[in-house]
Amino acid sequence: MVGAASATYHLVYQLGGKYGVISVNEKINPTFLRAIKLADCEGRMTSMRSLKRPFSVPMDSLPYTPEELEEEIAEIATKQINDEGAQIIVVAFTLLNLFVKPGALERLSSRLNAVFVDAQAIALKTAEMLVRLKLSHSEREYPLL
Amino acid sequence: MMKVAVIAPGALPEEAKMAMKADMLTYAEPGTTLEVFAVEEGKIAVAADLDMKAPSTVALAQKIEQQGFDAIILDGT
Repeated sequence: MVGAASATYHLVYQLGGKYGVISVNEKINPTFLRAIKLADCEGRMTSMRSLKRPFSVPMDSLPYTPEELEEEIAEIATKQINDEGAQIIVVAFTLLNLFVKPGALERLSSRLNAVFVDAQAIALKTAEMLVRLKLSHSEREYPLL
Repeated sequence: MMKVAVIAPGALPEEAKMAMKADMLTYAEPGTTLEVFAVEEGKIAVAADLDMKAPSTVALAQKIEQQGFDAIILDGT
């Protein structure tokens, strides 16, 4: 079992010193923050900032066009990078690629000279790595039922 | 061959599941197969909505495990 949040934040710790998080729904931030604390990755987070218009599930309507979404992510990330010293940006939305144009994270990385990570890809690559390495959870920490 | 299941925390239309799978297959290892599941009931609008989904998520993960998947991704960051 790979938690996308845990996999992402632990990888972020290997990539740089400080990171910022952009959430897609401010009202869910307590859950996102709890996941970060449980992963013991709170210490290097500069801030968690939210999109102005939230995503929720089920989605009755889309709050942003792909261009608008990419631009607002850029606007928020710019503050985190320039004002807070973030080097890495996590957009806490594993479905992000479905709502932006292809290559959005690469474009943002290049434009803002910071690392933008794809949580969905990190989760899958972590799962594949663990299967290849024949690694699973410690039964001392997580006893089988 | 590797079978990976993805559990989305909330209900998704079938086309969203297909789009998610197609996106992930662009960077998956050759031979990795993906199936997207979702914890269907309930909405996700505030943090507590996700907490309420924990029991259903565990039950779904147990069912998926019995289907022979090699790994399960609990989606959402």
